[in-house]
Amino acid sequence: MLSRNTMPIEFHTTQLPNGLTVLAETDREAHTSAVGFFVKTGSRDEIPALMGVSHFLEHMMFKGTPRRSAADVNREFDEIGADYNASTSQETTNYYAHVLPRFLPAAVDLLADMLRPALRTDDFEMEKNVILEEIGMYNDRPFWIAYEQAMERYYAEQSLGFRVLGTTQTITDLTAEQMRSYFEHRYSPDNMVVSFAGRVDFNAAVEQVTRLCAGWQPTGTRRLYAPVRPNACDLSLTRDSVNMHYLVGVAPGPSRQDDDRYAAAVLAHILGDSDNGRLYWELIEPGLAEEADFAHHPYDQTGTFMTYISCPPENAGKVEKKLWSALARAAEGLKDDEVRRAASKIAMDLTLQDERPAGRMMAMGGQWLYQGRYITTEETLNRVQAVDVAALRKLIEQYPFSPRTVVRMGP
Amino acid sequence: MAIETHEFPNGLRLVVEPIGGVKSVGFTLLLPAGTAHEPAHQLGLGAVVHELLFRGAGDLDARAHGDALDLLGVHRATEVNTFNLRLGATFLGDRLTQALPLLTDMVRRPHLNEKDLDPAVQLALQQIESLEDEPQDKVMIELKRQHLGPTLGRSVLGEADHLRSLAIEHVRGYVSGRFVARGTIVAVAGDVCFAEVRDLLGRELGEWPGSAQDIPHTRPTAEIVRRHVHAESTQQHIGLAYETVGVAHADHIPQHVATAVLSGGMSGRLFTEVREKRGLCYSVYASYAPRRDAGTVFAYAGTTTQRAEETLDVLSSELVKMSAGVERAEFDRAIVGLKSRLVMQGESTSARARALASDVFLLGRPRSLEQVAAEVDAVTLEKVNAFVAHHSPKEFTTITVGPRPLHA
Repeated sequence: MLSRNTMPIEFHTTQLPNGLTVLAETDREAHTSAVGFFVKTGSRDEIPALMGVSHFLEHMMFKGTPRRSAADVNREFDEIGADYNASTSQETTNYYAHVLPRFLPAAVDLLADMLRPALRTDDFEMEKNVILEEIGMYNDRPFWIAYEQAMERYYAEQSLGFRVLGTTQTITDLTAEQMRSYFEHRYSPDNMVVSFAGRVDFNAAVEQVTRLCAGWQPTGTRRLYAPVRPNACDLSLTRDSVNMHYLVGVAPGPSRQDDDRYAAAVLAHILGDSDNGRLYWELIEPGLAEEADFAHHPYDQTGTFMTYISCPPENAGKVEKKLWSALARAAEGLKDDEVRRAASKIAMDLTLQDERPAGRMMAMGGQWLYQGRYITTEETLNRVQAVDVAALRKLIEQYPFSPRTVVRMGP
Repeated sequence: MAIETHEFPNGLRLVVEPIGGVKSVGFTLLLPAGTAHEPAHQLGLGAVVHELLFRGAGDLDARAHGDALDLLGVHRATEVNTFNLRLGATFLGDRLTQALPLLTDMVRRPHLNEKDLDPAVQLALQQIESLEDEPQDKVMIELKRQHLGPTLGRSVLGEADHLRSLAIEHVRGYVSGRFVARGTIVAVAGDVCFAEVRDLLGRELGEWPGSAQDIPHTRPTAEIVRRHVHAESTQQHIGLAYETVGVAHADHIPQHVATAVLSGGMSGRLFTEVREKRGLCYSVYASYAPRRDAGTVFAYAGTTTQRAEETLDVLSSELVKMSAGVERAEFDRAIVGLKSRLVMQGESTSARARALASDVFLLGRPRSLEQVAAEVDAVTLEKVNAFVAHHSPKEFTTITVGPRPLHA
């Protein structure tokens, strides 16, 4: 279904002696090129006193290097017309750029240089204000507050529950020295991959990455996998300024590595697809709730299912009752049709991702950090299409959306 | 591959851009049913109608219709803006024959059942209530309302009392008046061939009657107003707007270039002055929203309350300062950014369909990416500086949302 009628896409990989892995999916017919550095570090890898350091560091990577100022970095990205960004999550920090093919070497030079930043103290102090502004921006989003509270309580003191942005206190107290130390330790070449897609000459890319990065010293940094003990908790928060009622629920689910993550993706569609999923019919179609989602959020060796609703306060009781009832009945009435519809929608998502080098670059980088191997779209599609009603029943039995943490936020 | 257009005898306009090496198809259908067309006492009809389009069409009830689209793997969405109600979809090229009739049924034969009106109204009312929890969105909605006036400035969410007084006859009347062939544009891009799309569309919509009046795109003259809307938010949200040229004007590309100098990337003036140098905010941007005969530049910044006056000052000075001109290096960066974005747009079949439909609506004709790139290439530094010397603002419609008004 997804075979190409033109030049084939080729996958290449190599690893530098210092452990840095280079991946590429080359497509000689692509009109653009994409490159990203994916670092296996995030809020999960922090200690409480350093909460938010991974995300703050992501900002600081743009503030200049020994040979470039912050203004130089910003200017050079724009000089090559790059569509670029970075992001931090619980487990990864990513830096990427999407450019016209002739600018790829310049993009690689810039990103590789940034990955060994200057981390100057006065830039650090100025950027602290921006991070505090970002925290302020999210503080105005009731869903975000409920989500952060739910994660904190579900993971009760374990690092997966840490706020990615940190708190006003942890950020205010953070020193540049602490950040440099975290960077030295975690941004080890054997703790990251460089992913390329689109119109890329693999040999030239490897030659350039080797020249720029072979001198980076590995530190042997490793993620600590403390046993995850989910915590069941029920919390209702009120805030005068909030107008609607929000609920976030978190419960165990498959991890990034589990085979049943494909069944989990299908289940998430069946329950949570906003066009036609079961929660749509229960809650949105009758006009009871504006939003009703169910999603699979997997992590490294552990995972969750998450549900989210937003509704008028006067409907809160009724909506919640229907929500739990719908989730409790997830295994009832499952039919092949329902499974095939979900698989069809997922297949469409994959096709669209395939058509953009940036999409493939991101997918490969993430896959390598979590699975340590290359997974073609074809394989992903086959795994999704192999999910059947029996697999879904088995999944629901193993992950019945319980024990769960529920956090509500309303006026 | 070449773009082809067709106008059916009933006035329906079609534009098709076949794209090689892709499997997907982007589909955009623009109906002449935007907020500007809503009857003055029924603001929110668009919000209700675009929800009802998913609740049964042709021979299929809501569930059967949704299931059919899902089985084909069709992504679909509707949205309302000032001039149009847009139905967008993405699907695999080999599903065209099955997907297209399901989509055209939504506009040609929507069920519009009375029993679905109240849920749709409830959802629209909830969207209005949610806005109180989204001050970043609220400021821009209020800004548009204040700046563009009672017709062009309408909120896509409608007005709560109007929504509550809607009856199904109003909905059906609105749809029969505005869901018409002449005035509607269909754009398709991706793994398709022109003749097949034309013939299929002709079968589905060739007999569709009706014609809709267009409305002026210029804003009524309004005084410059500064207004504060109270909200108990952590941040103060600032929105500025000023009028500029539209796509009919020869200088609309220089306006795009000027906006890119302000806000195209992290070396843009707003990001540099407001965020990088002063740490005043996380989010700051300017955007250009062209209409046919005129357009608006909107700017936004969100900042914690103590620094709100300074943020507003820096933001407005940067907009005013543009009149002094841009440097060669800034100009070059803006051009390479705009041209890169064009190539990237070409990788997305849905982005192409959207852009083609918009071109036909605003310009009367589609443009290929090569044509747009050539227009960008034709702009010189001198042209941009001549433009900004005569078209930069001195004052702005200003809306702030937050815990206290800003001092002058």
